[in-house]
Amino acid sequence: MFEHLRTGARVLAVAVALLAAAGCAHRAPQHFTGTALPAKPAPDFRLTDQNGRPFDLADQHGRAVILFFGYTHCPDVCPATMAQLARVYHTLSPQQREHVRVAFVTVDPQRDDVKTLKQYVNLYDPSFVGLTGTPAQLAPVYDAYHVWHQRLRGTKATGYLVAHGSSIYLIDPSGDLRVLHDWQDPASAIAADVKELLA
Amino acid sequence: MRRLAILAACAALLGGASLPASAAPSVAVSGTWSRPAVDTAVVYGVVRNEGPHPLVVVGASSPVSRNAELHESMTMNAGKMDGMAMSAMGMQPVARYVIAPHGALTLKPGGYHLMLLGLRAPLAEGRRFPVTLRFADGERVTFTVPVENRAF
Repeated sequence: MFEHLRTGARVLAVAVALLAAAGCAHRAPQHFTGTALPAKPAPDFRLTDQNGRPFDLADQHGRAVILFFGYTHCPDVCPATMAQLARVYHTLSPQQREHVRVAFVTVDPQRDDVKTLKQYVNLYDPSFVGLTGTPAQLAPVYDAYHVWHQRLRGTKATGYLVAHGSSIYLIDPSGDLRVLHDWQDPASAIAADVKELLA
Repeated sequence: MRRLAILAACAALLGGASLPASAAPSVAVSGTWSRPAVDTAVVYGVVRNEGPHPLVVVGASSPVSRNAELHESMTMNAGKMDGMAMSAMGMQPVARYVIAPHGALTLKPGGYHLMLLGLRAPLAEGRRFPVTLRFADGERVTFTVPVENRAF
């Protein structure tokens, strides 16, 4: 009796999976307002978050990840982008937000320690993640995401400045890197693509 | 009182047009704003030269930070990923900026902006603080900047 039920349940599970797969295959292709990338796994990384805990990109499966690279001494482009990402995040429903992670990766590990990153991401949303690591841990991440970065001469007061890639990366819940946005793109456009990834 | 009288006289000479917060009646500052920040903040707005002579911005200061400087953000070529062009931004300090007669210096995201370095305390939304611009002729103009939670 129980055996039958169990077999029945298994058959049902397989049928549901097949139907789901068929449904996916017939789904309309996704359309993005940003630059669509050929879907392939987002390069994995393990860095340290603003609480000093390890952060593995692979652990985010099931969530869309919005990734941005910058540094906390950047007064203009980075805060504009982070404020924009906060707007994107807040246009999502609470249910959608549970499936979205916004992560900021520093291009200035020398000055951006865990404490600095924590204060910084809290300016935008306490759920945002601020990531750093050793230069040896970060270099392959910059390489994998093509984050061009270069120190520029500043002033006595600023110390060095950092020119850096200012693209916003959207990773889908299955872990594929899907869409690029420019830092100046409207929040509504970025939010539409995030919703598309969650759909 | 005497200073007020001089200001009033200047205003009268200029036809009583919008008088800025302090002296230098040929400068009008509008649309100022800043964002919440911990250590490094920004100031945006429009600085208009309403006079007949070029105005040269040579410095800035604010009681909320140890230093203030004029900077310019600019787009840089960052190569491609999967054939897609990547965007990148850089920034450089600007020692002097000449505002042509009846011209303006527009401080906005991704362009010229004032950078406040070493905030004495974090800036929270809703706060208002003064900023002073210095000009080559020794003139100074002080204006108020509200802290707003916005991207652009």
